[in-house]
Amino acid sequence: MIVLAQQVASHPLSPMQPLLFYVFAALTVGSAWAIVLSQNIIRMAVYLLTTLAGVAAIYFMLNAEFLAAIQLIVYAGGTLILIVFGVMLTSKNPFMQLVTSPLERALGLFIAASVAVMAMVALLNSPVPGGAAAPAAPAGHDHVARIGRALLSDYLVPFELAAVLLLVVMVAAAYMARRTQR
Amino acid sequence: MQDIISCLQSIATPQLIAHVIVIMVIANLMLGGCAYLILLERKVAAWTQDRIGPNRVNFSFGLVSLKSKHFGLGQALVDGVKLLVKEDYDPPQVDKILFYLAPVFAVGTALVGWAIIPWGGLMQWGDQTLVIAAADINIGIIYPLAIGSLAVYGVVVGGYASTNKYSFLGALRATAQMLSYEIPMSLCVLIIILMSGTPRAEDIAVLQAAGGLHHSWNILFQPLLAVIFFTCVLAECNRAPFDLAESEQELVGGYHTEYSSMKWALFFLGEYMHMITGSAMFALLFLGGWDLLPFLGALPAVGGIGLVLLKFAIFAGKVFFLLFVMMWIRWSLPRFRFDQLMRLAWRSLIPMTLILLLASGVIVYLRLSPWYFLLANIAVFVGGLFVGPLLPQGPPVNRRVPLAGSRFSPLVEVAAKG
Amino acid sequence: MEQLLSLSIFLAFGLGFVFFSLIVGRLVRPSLPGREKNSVYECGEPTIGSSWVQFDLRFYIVALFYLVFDVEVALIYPWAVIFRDFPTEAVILGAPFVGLIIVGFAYEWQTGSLDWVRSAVNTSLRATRDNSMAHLARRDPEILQDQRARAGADTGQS
Repeated sequence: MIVLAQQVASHPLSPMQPLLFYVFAALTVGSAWAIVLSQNIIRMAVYLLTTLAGVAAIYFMLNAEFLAAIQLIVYAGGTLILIVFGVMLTSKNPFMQLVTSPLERALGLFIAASVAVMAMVALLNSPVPGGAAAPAAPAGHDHVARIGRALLSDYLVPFELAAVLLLVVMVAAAYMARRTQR
Repeated sequence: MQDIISCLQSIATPQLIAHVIVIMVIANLMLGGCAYLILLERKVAAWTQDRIGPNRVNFSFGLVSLKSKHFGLGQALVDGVKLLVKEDYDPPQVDKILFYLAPVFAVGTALVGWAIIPWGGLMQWGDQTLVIAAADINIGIIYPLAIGSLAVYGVVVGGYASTNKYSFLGALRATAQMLSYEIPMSLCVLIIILMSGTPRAEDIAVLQAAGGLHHSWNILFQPLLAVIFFTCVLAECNRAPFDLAESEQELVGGYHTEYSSMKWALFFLGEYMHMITGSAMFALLFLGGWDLLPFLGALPAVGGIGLVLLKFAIFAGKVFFLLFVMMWIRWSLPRFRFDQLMRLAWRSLIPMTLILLLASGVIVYLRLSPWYFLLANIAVFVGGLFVGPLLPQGPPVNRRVPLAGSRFSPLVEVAAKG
Repeated sequence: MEQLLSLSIFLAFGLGFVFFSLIVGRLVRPSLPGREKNSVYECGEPTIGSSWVQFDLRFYIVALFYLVFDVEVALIYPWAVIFRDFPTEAVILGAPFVGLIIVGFAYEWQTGSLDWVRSAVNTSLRATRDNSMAHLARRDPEILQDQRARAGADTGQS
């Protein structure tokens, strides 16, 4: 209780922060779990949607609203719909069940374990000690403007390269569209 | 105990209380308002078609006898009760989880989308300035676009889970349509951000309400952009003339063919909420938000509770007017064909907004008067009229396809040949 | 933080309403399934095949184009926000970006990939008409005769 009161004194909203974090983290992890356990591919896509939305909410919590919006616009809105269309286009049966063979299961377990070890190592070597909460970006109204300034100064080359890359994708899409004329 | 109370006191800042009050008031107003919007829609339809429309149901509900008919205002409540007690059957072939999730997505995305709308502007409370909106988000008008891009899933998931050909095709069409119109919509928002130099909703309203010749409603500076944005809003809501997803002659009900009673009603509710959100966005971006009249700067940006209520009334009035316009359009215009719909998005709206983006950039760069935006809009419109036909065209699709044996088949040529 | 809190309250309220209405409805409404009610709704026709139709690749192409434009617009939001404060940098450094978008769009326009109806339909139009005429002539010469007479009358009138 005393700790809580101290936290309250330091930041007025801090008691709500863990609560919100656990709610959205549970949403993210739970739906990620559901993706793995589900066997229907469209259901997986829907669970992936809630996972992405949960991650966006956590970005939101860290005062990275623009990143959260981009997460929703680009990943949840754009990429996922492409995946859903791709799945609908290629699979032969609407309620196709994915059956995992034991070998695939073992392989998946191995990859997941190595990624988990990697993430833990990275986390323990991170500048944030003892697994404390990551420092949130300072809240402020010029949040997007700062990203804009960074894009036009420090990250100029990636910014322009992204345009070139997108042009390539556009040309490729146009080529694909032309192939479908017949 | 003491700690918990102090804890709660520290959470409940005036700003948060203001947010919660706005959420409760507006969400309830919207839920109730949707029922009456359906009644209004029927009345407008009747008015357009020279009928009377629903006018029988009063507030007696068969319990007491009332003489007055109350203009049929009881209809909305009775409709709600009907939807609640109708049989709700789940067809056995559906994917149960997704079948239930789809209407939740549809309503959820429509509801959360309007959180940034500054219904009451700013309010002075002691030494603080409170934002009278459901949430005061820094990214402002980008946020509804982010939420709006999720609105597709209600449709896709509903269409897929129903396991019905009509639903599936309707969902595909609706998705392609919503995706296509989201691009010009976000470009419109981008141009407004470029003009105002800020994405924050309240700042955009204040800029338009400042008064004087150089700060006025954006619709006066960018009329073409306003028309494009309104078109996109109509298409995003799947409203006629863009209701291809549920064109009943071809697809019965589209993606909600297999839905009934309350789950169907939730889709419907989602559509009406989308309309309200879209109208509120239009009012905010182009009609000055809570501003009373252009050029005057009649209302101060910050004020007491009376000013907040007045601003809310003005804002709601604008939204109501826009909703009426949407209904008017729905009952006046015939439905587009699908290729026309795609053509409109990809061959007219997107190029026009891209050119407007360039023109607006130049005007902002040279720090010209905002009236040059109007000039640019007129130039793009006129240019589109004259240059459009010169650009490479797609294959002509609206040709009369000969029906052998029809009285209207163009047989002259064939007859002359044969 | 505060914003996420109010958004969460908002979302909780909305979802609460949705679930409340679904649950209340479940308690009060009847459930009378029947064999015909339970069949797939296709206007009373018996269903043929699965509901899984192989749809057109064009829908996928639309989604692909949407994704490209989506990413582009998302990347230039910050650019638009700082445009007023740093106009020179924004114009010089942003011009290639916007320029490339327009080049790509022009290319797509030129190649006709923005058309929903592709040329295949168009080229076969005349062939379709001639074929159907020939077919009609084989099958039912009298109708064709009648049509010709009618067409002649029409031209005579006009």
